[in-house]
Amino acid sequence: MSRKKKRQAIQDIPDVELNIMPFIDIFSLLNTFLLFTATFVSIGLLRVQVPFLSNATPDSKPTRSLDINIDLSRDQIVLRTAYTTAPTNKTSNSFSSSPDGIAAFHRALVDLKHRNPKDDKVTLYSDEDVTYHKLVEVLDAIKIDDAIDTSDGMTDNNKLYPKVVMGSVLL
Amino acid sequence: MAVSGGATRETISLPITPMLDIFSILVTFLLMSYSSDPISHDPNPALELPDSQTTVSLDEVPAVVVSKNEILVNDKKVVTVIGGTVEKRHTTQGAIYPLFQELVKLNTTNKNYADASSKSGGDKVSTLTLEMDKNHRFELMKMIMLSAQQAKFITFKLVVSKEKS
Repeated sequence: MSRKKKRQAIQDIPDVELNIMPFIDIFSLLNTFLLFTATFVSIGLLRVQVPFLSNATPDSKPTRSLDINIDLSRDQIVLRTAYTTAPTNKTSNSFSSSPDGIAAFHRALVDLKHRNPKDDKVTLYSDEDVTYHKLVEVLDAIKIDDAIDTSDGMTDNNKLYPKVVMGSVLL
Repeated sequence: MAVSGGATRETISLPITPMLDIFSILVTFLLMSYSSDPISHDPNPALELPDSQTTVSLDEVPAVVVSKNEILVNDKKVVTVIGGTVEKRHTTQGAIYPLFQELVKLNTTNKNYADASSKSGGDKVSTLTLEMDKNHRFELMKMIMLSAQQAKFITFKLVVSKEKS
């Protein structure tokens, strides 16, 4: 085809205009809906318990388990362990309450869990001047199991020591 | 009919491509940040939640909210918080008496609801969801927990802000 004919063919194509008004309408409605229903802070939960008195009869043959107690103060975290029956093998380790200290404390708990996989309860004693923010950091270190894949954002990762009893909340 | 005026009409075309660009980006952002949590709850604006790595989502609206200046039970102000604590006249045996009274009412309502709907309801009856400012001390939290404990709430769900991984 000659160049002249090509130019003629291009000129013969009619102007096509895409009607984008319905597209804009859909986008506007979608935007409005999303803006109204958007939650910009994702909220989670950490479950804790307080001690309570029970009139249930204790086990006649208590099984040997590990008692894990944590003393939390503003500057320090003390991890104390002892078995419920002899030999009690008492241990006590201190960690600073800095991010590095909390990470070391978490590693110690992971190690403890590997050695005693059946134990799932921890008693936490906190000083009154500890902030809620610091308490949540320590609760994360106690409860969150890093080995759990949470890429879906739905799987419960509170599996390391899921039962935390606030030992200081007692009359 | 004569045409009034002699001005010629011009066709004005509005460039809508930039608007479409903005809309596309906004829709993409909103869709990405869309939360599929079972409960949508906006935290009280007068408080800041602590960050946590938990993946457990909120499953009920917090019953007790502790902002910087007040304690609310189901959006009703119960007591004022001054300097991170409660006035001595409101406390008894380490607990906050007005809060205890409200929590007893709440527990009774929960029990009645559980009985009426013939559900087991045991978990709901003894569980309290607590939303609290991250800068409050454990001293205040302990008072709240003691009040709740005496009103027969044993388990607490602490509301936190999920950290983005």
